[in-house]
Amino acid sequence: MAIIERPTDTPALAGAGAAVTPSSSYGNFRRPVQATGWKSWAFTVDHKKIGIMYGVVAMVFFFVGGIEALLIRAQLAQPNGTILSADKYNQMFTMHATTMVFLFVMPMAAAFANYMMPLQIGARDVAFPRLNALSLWLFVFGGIFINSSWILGGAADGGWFMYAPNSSVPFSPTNGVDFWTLGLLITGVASQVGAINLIVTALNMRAPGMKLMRMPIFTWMALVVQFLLLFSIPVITVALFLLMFQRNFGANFFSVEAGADPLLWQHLFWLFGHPEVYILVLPSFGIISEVLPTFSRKPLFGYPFVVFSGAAIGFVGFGVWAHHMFAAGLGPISVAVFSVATMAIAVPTGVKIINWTLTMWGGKLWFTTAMLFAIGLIVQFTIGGLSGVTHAVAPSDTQQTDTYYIVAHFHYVIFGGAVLGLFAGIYYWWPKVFGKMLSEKIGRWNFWLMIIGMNMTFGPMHILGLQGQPRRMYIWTGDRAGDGFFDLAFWNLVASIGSLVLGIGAFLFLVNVWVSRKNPPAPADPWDARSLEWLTTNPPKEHNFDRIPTVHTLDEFFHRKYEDVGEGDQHDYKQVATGAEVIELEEKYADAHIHLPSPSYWPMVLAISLPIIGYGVIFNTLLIVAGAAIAVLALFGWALEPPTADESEFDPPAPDGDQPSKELAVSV
Amino acid sequence: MFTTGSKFLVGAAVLATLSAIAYGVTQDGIMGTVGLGSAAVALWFLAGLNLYTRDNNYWADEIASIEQAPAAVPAPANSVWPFAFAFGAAVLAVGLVTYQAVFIIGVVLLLVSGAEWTAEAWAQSASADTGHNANVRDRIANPLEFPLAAAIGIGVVVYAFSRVMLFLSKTNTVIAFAVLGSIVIALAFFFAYRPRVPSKAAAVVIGVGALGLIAGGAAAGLSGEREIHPHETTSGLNEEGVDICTSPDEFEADLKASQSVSATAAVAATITLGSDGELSYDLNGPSAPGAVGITLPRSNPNNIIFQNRSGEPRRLSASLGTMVAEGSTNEVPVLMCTTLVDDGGAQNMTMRIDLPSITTPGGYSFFVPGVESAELNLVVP
Amino acid sequence: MNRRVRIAAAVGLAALVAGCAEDAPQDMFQPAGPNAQSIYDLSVPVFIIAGVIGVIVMVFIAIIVVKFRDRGQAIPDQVHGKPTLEIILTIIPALILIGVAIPTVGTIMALNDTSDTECVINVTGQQWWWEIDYPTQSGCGSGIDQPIITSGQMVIPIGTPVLVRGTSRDVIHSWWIPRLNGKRDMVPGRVHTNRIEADEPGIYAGQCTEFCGLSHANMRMEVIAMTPEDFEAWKLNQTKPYESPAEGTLAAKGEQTFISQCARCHQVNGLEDADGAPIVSRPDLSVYSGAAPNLTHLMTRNTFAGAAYNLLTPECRPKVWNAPSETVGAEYLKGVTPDCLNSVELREWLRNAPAKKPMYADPTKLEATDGLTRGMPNLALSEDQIDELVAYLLERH
Repeated sequence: MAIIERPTDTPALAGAGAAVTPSSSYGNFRRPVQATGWKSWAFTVDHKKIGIMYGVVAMVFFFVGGIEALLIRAQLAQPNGTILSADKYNQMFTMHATTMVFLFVMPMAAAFANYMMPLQIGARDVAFPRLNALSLWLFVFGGIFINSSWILGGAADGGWFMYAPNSSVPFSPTNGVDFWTLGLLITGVASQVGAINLIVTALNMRAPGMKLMRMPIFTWMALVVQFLLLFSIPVITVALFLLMFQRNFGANFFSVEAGADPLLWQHLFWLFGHPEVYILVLPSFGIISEVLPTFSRKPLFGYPFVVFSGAAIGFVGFGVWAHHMFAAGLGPISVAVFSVATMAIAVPTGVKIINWTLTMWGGKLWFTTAMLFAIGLIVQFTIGGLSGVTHAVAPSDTQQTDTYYIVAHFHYVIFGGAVLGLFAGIYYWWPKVFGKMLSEKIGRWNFWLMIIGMNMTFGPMHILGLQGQPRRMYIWTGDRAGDGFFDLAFWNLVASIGSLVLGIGAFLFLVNVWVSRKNPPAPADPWDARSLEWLTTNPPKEHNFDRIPTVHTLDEFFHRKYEDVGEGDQHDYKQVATGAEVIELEEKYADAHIHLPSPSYWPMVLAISLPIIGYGVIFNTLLIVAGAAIAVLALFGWALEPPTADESEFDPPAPDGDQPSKELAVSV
Repeated sequence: MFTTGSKFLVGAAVLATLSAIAYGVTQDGIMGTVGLGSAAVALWFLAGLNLYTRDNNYWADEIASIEQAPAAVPAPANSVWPFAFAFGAAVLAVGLVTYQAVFIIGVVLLLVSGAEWTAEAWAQSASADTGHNANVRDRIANPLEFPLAAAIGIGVVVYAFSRVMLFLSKTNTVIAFAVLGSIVIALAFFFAYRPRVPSKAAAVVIGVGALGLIAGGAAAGLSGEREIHPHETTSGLNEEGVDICTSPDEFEADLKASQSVSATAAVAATITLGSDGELSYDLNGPSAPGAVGITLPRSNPNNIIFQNRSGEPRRLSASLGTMVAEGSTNEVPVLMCTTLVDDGGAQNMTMRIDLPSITTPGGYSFFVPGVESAELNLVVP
Repeated sequence: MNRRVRIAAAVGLAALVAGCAEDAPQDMFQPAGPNAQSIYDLSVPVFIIAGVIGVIVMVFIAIIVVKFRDRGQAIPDQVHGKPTLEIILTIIPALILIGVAIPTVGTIMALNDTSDTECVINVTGQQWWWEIDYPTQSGCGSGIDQPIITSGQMVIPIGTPVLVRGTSRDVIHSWWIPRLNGKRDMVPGRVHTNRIEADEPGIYAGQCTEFCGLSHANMRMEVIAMTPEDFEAWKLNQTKPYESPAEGTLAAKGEQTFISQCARCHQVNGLEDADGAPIVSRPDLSVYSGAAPNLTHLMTRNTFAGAAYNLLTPECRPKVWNAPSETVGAEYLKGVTPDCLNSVELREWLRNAPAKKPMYADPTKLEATDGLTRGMPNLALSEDQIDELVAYLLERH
């Protein structure tokens, strides 16, 4: 944790006599230190504001991707649908997956990790606040960059897996794939930078007494995810670079006529793509591992097992990628090895489900909306996991792959496993983040409509797939629909209606936010929670904790509220303090000097240079020069800027004395 | 209005801009304009910075500091850059009369030491506090120094290592790689498990290793690369008016050819010349004795592996009808062949045939020059 | 179980059973040959195991939700877990999975063994149709002396293990006849194999299942399995010499139109120009993949344009497709008769192919492929020319 003290006011001089070191060292720009207004958000380095912005932008993309999904289902509701052309349909499903994976679930998980990780480990911010801002803006600009393709000649049309050689220029002559490639490179930088940042934060900035095995489980899962990102993003970056050079600079990495093997792309893509699945679901596993104990009033059952199974999933997740390629012609030995490895990964996943149910067993269950979403996750993810086992069986998978059965499977995993968990987190932490409760009544509607909608949408897809309807087809015909109970026409219609229900359910979340905006302030500890992020006000102050807490146990906050008054093996927990009282105590012993980093322009300037270079690659070489110039400018601006702004830049200047002053910070 | 430093930069920027325009107007090709334009942008940027910071007498604005500052400012510390700059100039001069490489080294040395000197001098005027000034220098120069140094370091290692690898024979490269890899891992483990080992020792080991690598690379680079066989293409081997494909003899092209098979994942057929002088073929699947010949799909690259088991060096040729040669009206035969394959060897031939075999009376066929009995019909539907 | 539940269950089961009789033609739970059967035999127990585990988990959760909901009981004991229980519950799923893994590996190996096949058929995917060619060989019944080339519909003899050797001319496609075997990607530059065998005569539908661009949804194929006798008849018909239409008929005009408009890309074997030289199509000069369907025996097939459209009218189609296995071969061998020709769709296709099936077919907009089209362009034929062509094509038996 590189904290750089700024030069003291009376420096020790090399020579004799008194010299004065200038207090503001090299930055010639006035820092954007406003505490309110748009600048306080745009140039902030506060992990909480960054987390909120991550969440808001991710939610916007969630609804963008949702609309794309609704259009897809509308097209498929009837045979020979005419709502979308073949070209638009192909763009639609490509962008639906890209948006949901890269622009919703990943950044939403990043939002939670950003906001909650420092709070859960008792830190004042992440290790590198400006890098954190850089991650956010790279993600935002990368997302806008990809989506700008809609109005600049059409979006990518090769599917999110973008198999070569279908992604080469002769087969995809528009610029869509270029936008996709460059956009994902940009968001990839965001993920990579964020991963390094959060790993350093979790490993180095824990509060005194918080050993690794006392770390809240969400932080643990977020940490595992950051390691997955650290090792998998470089792989996709390599693949995207090859594709970019193939398309824009005449390289031949995937040109069969030049002797290339198209399977190279598949290996690279899935070597990233499979860990990616765990990148998507593990944060949600972490979230519900917080939610379930809180609302069961019990610690997480088998905390070390959950931690190690998470790590095991992360590790084995790198050894199963070829199960996406069972039909690709790998040869029987590879197929057998990857088939068995895929079955092996089901074990730690099963351990998690067992632990969650046993956490609830013997508890005192409180069915809040967050808890409903968490239980919903267990049920839905179990279905997705079990259908996953059916295609770990490679011969069986050669029938199922690329049919709607797979679509059903991964939506139960990603929607049932990841998205429901994210919603559980949103409902659980909403009072923490915004200081207001969301309506539980609308929340229930939100939950049940989403659950019914998702089962209506994705449940029938099991039937569609097993009846032989392949994915990624812009139309299906009555000729091959059959009739009777397994009539494809009927189940396609059900799925389309279900998607509408799901859409309404998701929309109710927005309604809930709108309706709840004028609710009275939330109580200090609305859920009788267990972990450290609740040991501060709602919403937390800018400096998170008035006093850096000292941690003695797992579930520290719970144990400050409840004491075991039983004797010997007889446990009897009695409440000794309310959450509000515990927090008040912290305020009473507030630390005197609290150092926070100052806001900065440079992360945003640096972030904006990359899309400009991207447009340059696609449209005009001169834009590359301009983008690179901006990047160099930003890098130097960043490097020359001291970590904290000068007192005089604050308006009004921060008062002297024992007041907490915003002076110091962390270096990068 | 213009400070001393900015005059120079503005002048250079104007010059670069004018040359960019002049180059763009008078010369073909965009790269020169882009390069000069980039230089102009960079110089204008620097000029702007310099103007804004008033030659970095910015701190002079802080009247209080000036008033309180001591009369004597600490003397500048020792610096290696004037020496390096001068040395660079000398190297450049030597390079002018000897080799281009020496000249380039001189230019690089001049640029690097000049830049470092400038940064250092600039930083030393920032304040009276030398520690603070060192910090200023680092903040200005490190963002350039670290990536450039890393790139050069990696480049040197990669280049030196690749020279060594290209010098050794094919088998020895494997051994060298394994030995070197083991040594590196062993040392890494050693240092990881013995944190007490003084860092100087580690530095010495790394330094010796780096020196050894560079020395090895230089030596290997000077002694040249091992002989590397190119993968000879299989069609259009025509030497001095003799079509190789119809001859059993050895030609220059045959000597250069590698006999390793590259495309094993996509073999359309394996054709074997047996010791009985007959061609037999093997498709993936049931063999087809009694069939009229081998069938290959049209307009599709087919990889044919030719195995020679005849005891003599032989080539496989394919006769694919005739075509009208460009610029004449003569029909010439279309032939394709492997290079001469030693007994027991194999070679790949990739064929894409766009016309069906019915276009040629008698159809297409495979044959082996010098072996009368070796003939195999080729059917392209 | 109360009465209403029982009735609902009975109705559900009845619907299920009734439905099975007329399932979609690509139903993967109706294997029609030993390869698909071995996959089916392997996957059904896995489905059952997965289903049982799923039910157990759900019931367990339901019990917990009912039993432990907050009724004002005291704060529960803060147990952190029971390692023995954890380990047991880890080992059980591991054992189940080992039980699944062993037969899986066996089946993988068995399905990849192609040494027992008796007939080789090449399939080549391109945007957006399959070319199917029968190389000369001694297998496939009485052997094949003259290569047969067709598209969209593969004819095989029953009871014969057939080796499908596949590749692609442009992007990756996937060969999948669900009732005969699992799918296999056909990758350009590689030759992949897939063993199929049908027990009963019938028409087995399939679909390209690797996303291959614009008209991926319109890239289908069928395997027609027939008795060895029927198969010999089919082979004989495919290799019979070309007959020009009778002088003065509409079809004879159609032949000239075909030569001037279609023969650039589409091969009709035996077609000769005025000098008696064979007319050889050069699709590689107009189409990016370098191939176009061979139309010599178009009317022996009953679908066209990547098996996406029927050559049979909606009235005639069921007579072939739903024929019992004893007669399906004979029905298929009849080909397309004039009264059964789906001339509506064939005419639409000839009138403007890219409007019927999305394709990249406008040479003026195809810089990336040097003007080579992907798929069939709009030939701007007159209605008269279309009439002539339909008459000509109708004789391609």
